[in-house]
Amino acid sequence: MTDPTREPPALPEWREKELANELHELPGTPADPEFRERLRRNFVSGAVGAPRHGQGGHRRPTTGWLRGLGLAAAAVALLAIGLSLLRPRTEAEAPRWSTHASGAQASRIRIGDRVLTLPADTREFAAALDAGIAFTIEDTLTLDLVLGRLMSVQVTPGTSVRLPARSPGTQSLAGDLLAGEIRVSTGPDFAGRTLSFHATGAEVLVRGTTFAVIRGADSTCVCVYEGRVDIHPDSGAAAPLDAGLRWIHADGAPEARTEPITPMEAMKLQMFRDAAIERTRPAGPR
Amino acid sequence: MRSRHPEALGLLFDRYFDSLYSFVRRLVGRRELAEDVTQDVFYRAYRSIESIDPTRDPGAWLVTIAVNACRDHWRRSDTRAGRHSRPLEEFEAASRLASDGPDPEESLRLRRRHEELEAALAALPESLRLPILLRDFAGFDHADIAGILETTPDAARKRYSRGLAALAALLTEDRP
Repeated sequence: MTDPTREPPALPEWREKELANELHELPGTPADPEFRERLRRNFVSGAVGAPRHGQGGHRRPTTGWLRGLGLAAAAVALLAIGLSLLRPRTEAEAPRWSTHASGAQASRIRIGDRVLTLPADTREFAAALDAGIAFTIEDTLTLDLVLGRLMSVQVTPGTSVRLPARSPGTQSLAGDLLAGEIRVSTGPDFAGRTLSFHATGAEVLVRGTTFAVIRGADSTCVCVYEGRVDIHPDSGAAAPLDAGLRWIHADGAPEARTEPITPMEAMKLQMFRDAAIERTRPAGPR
Repeated sequence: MRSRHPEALGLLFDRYFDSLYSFVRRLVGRRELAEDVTQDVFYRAYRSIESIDPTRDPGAWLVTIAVNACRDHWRRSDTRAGRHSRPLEEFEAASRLASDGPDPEESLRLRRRHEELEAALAALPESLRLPILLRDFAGFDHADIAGILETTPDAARKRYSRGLAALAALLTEDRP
């Protein structure tokens, strides 16, 4: 695995230019329009102030009494969470699937013979997810799908997958990766449950972790970023796979191989995991 | 501009905000930090607008302020471990801008390449990432970069080359 702090060999000049040209063509990252507009208004009017560092540009200055109110609200929220944990979840309280990161651009989702378009058909899509129906992303959009505080699943373009159905009280969640690539990160409410994903050649069983399953044209790959998963090959004995490793099984090969995950996959999983954590964090004052 | 006329300030903001925010975002990683630092840049710019050199590109002045603001942030914060992380949906949103072409396969290939490049950039240590951002995103030459990094043009050039080499190594390694 490459350590980016170590000295790599210098590139020839043509390769430097080639890479620099690619970097030039990277699109910019748009800011949140609300943040942009607010900063512009304050800058132009002279009201722009120094940020409260580490709290994000969205947050407004908080006075002492507001902070006190925030603490009181947090205490009430904690009490409410505590009480809710004391009684079993009902059907109405079971978390539902929701769609993130789809942005404003339309995306085509195929479910059997039907094609849904996001964001217009978001509700219908979420209902299909809750029912555990398989779907395929037909265009170039990556979707982050979130089941309450139980788990986040990132589904990449072209992937066909069936996610675990919404089910109150079920301790075992199961899904199928038919083709393509998903990343999964379990959330704070996952404790005590198990999750399994089946792809051609193997089933991945987890009890709380961040990992990816990639079903290529002729192989299946499982990459573990943190925690540990148990791999149950269709043929052969089950084996644990620890964080930092990937398991690759080529179709028809007698044995799979295990090796360190690539820095790129680790980075993708880290970014996905960070976004998942951010989503499950209680909302602060805005 | 120096008299802080609202119209002039608005033009300055509209002209440079987007590229400046992208630059900061790539430098610090997380959205919240990028917003903090970008706000800090415009706060500092407003306060020191008298020092702006009307014969020079205001963009370079703002980028210099941004680099200093990032450095101040890093000195202040203890979030170095989290600096390289970046929600993937932002990559998605950014690369989507470039994937509106008519050929879906080409769009997909380009989009994935952009994701790889962004992830590899984010994986670089700041000492190697900063010269690349200054050179290839902010458009500075090595002499200007040397001024910002407080080093010689030759050393700035070498750091930039080392950054590209590290970037290429990360990209090459990820290929199956």
